[in-house]
Amino acid sequence: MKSTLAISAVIFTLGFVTLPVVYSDSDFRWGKMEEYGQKSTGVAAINNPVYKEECGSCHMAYPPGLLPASSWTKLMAGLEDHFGDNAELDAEALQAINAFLFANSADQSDYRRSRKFIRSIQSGEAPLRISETPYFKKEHDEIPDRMVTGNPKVNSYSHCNACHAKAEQGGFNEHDIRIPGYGRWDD
Amino acid sequence: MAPSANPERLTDVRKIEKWFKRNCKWTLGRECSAQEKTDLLLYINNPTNF
Repeated sequence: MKSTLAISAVIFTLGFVTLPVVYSDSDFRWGKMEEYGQKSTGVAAINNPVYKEECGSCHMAYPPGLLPASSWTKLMAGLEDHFGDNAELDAEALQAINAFLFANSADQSDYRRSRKFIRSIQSGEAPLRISETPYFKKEHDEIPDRMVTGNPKVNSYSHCNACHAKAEQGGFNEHDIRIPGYGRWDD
Repeated sequence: MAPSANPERLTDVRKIEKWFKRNCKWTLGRECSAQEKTDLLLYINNPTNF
């Protein structure tokens, strides 16, 4: 009887401890927010001026920690036809950007969200679009089309910073999401 | 694109070459010749001469 009570107590306590973890899909973790800092909810921020200029003037400069090195290698080898446009670079810029992308790619990163991207991609796969990765799809599958592709202020999932205000700083925390015309998003 | 509209245009050789390469290959399927580049630059610099 005593042991049954003890076991019940343990199960009861465990239930309380694990409940919030199981229940919540939130990015928020109690305590340690400062210590975790960006590492808990983001990918590395972009700190390379050549990359910002060359890869951020036609579209948003995507943080390299959103794709594995194999993806960046493939993408950079095909700049002559970069999603329908010629985006070729001179040799010097190409080398600098390749080095930056590789060093900061998701597989080289300790950032929590980079690890999630990597875990979702099958080994050998090298997706060229961030929005094609399983982790991206999972994180966006509850959002109605009218808020993104049907939303004239967003238009496409490629415009991360339309809703993720801190995207270019590597911040994708759900509390920083503001969907134009709809406001906060909480899942 | 014209320097008359924006004085910073055509001041950076690397930028000029980058966009010649991209746009020539995209439009003509090949890089432009020196003569073709000269023609375009002269035109953009002073369209009234043409």
